[in-house]
Amino acid sequence: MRKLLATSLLGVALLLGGASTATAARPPLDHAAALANAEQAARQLARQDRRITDWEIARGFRFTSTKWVFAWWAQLGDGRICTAQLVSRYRNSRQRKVVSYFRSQDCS
Amino acid sequence: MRITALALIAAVLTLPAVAEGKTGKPPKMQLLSKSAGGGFPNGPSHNGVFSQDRQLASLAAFDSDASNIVPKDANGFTDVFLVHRKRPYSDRGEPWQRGRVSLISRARGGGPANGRSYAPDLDGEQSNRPRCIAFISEASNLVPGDTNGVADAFVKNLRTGRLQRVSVNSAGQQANGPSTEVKIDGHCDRVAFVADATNLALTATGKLAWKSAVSGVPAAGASQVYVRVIDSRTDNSALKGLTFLASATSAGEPGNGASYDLAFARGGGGCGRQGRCGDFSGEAVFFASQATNLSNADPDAGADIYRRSFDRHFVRLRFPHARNVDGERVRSTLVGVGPMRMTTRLMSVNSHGERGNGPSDQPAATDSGQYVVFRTEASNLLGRDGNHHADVVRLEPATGNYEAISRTRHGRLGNGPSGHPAIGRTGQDIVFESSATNLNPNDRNCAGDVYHLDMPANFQLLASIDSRDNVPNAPFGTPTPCPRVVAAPIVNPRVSYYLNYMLLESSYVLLDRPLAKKVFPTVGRTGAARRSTRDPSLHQVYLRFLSPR
Repeated sequence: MRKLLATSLLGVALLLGGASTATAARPPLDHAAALANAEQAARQLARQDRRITDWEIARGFRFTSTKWVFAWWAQLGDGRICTAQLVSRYRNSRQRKVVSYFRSQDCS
Repeated sequence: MRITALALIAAVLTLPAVAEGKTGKPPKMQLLSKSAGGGFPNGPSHNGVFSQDRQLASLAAFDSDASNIVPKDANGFTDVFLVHRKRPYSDRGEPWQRGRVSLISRARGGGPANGRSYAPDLDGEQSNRPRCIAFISEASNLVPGDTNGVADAFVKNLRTGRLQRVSVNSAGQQANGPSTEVKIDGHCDRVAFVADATNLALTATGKLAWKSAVSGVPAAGASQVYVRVIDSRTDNSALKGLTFLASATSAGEPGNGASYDLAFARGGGGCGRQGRCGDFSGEAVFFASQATNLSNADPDAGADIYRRSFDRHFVRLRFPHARNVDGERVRSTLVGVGPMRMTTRLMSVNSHGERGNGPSDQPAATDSGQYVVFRTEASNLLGRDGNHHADVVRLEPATGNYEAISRTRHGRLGNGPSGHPAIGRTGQDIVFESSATNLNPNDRNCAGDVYHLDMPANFQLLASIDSRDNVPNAPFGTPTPCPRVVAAPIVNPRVSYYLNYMLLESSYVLLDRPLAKKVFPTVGRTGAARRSTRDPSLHQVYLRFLSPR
């Protein structure tokens, strides 16, 4: 019984320690890093989609300590404008790697 | 018995006095442009406007030549005054009471302006309290560097006290010609003005979001309409500082004739555009223009009504929690993106696409631009129009449907000219001035009056009635068609957002009876009518309480 209790306590301690290590590894995502990653994603999309002639990242807001959302728009060759939200956030709760992706895309 | 009868008569005689001020309530028709001492000011006043913050109408403004509206107004020029509504008030639309009055057109440091200031406009809309006041001024000491020697358009932020000149180009250079009109949107984000200058249009830019605003240079000698973005909030992201020519073709060619009579579709909270809801800045201006190149359907130089739209794409961001954005606590916000979509469209055409066969001008629009009212002498816009007078009509641009506004409730058009329409938020109530005598059977004063067409109820109300609800200077119980002395007309109506209150201009002192009886105790109906035509300083701005809610 004592052995079981000791093992459980050790397990809890390890879990807590791991969690605190993960938290310590994830400082708030700063604007510069979020924007740089968002711009990289936007450049990549513009390279892939030949219809895009111009694009810009407009204003962004911090949604949580680890997530920024920017407004993105692009001019297509046929005159249409595409808009989207461009999200920058940590890849997951354990890594510092930042990922950016588009959502709510609308071309009209 | 005799005592009872006498008491009854006394009670009846004192009733109006009790109703008009003795109870502490303001009279239904009150002088807005009062002197500091509470009487009539010593100079004429014009151009009353309300802030458009729903039923609150918390501010009113006007311009005046008088020097005794506030103490120490010794510059000898027309000035712009702001009247704060006296608290308490709510959105129930109670009677409007005058509060503090302040002189707006002051020089830097609070000194007197060295030129005339006039034609004020106020912002505010459904979801925003007023922030600023716009006006025209010939003074050169309001802001630093005003060396152009002509009238300019200014906007004063009422919260910070900052005054900025808005009739400048996108590089901040001052205009090389005078400005004559200025209007502001509901958020104090965009301002439109009329100027006869050749250096204000944006002719080239490296900014992606500004590219659609590029136009040619207008010719000298013809006034043009310009729009300037003065804030970068919400849908104005990346547009702050842009000034563009609005009286241009969709492709950016400047109008080749004078454009004037500016009206702003002021934007504001609401649903509709792109099937979505939001709180937008002003997205269109309406104006009259004598240009012949703004539309293919307009080959002659008669004045027509045009709409210049400049809406924009946007991205909506919904926050996980309420937060402060640009000083306001919100759950979501719009971010304007991309260039403005510029289109110019001729409005004064009938359902067959034919341009009006007479001049049209004096437009007024609802905040969304869903309805526009204007004055027209054309006879082919309405189905039947044979009265040979200027009429007021309402157009719904989306459908092209016209409604006659200056008409009797039975549909007969006025037998005299009508004009200067004003329209509330819903577009269902329109006020206008008219010299017609057949619009309402109570109109027997043979002078110009102000009418209010309540479209859902189909009532044509005579709105310019005095504080006792009597038609000013109308003869009582007599078959004579006109009074012995006809008074000066009542003109230039303006309304609050939901038509709880109306402003108008008149020289007839008996409109505010309690005040007139104090200041002119012996004056009667005929005397007041005579004074109204002889004493220009009696031309003042009055406020009429229309209805609660």
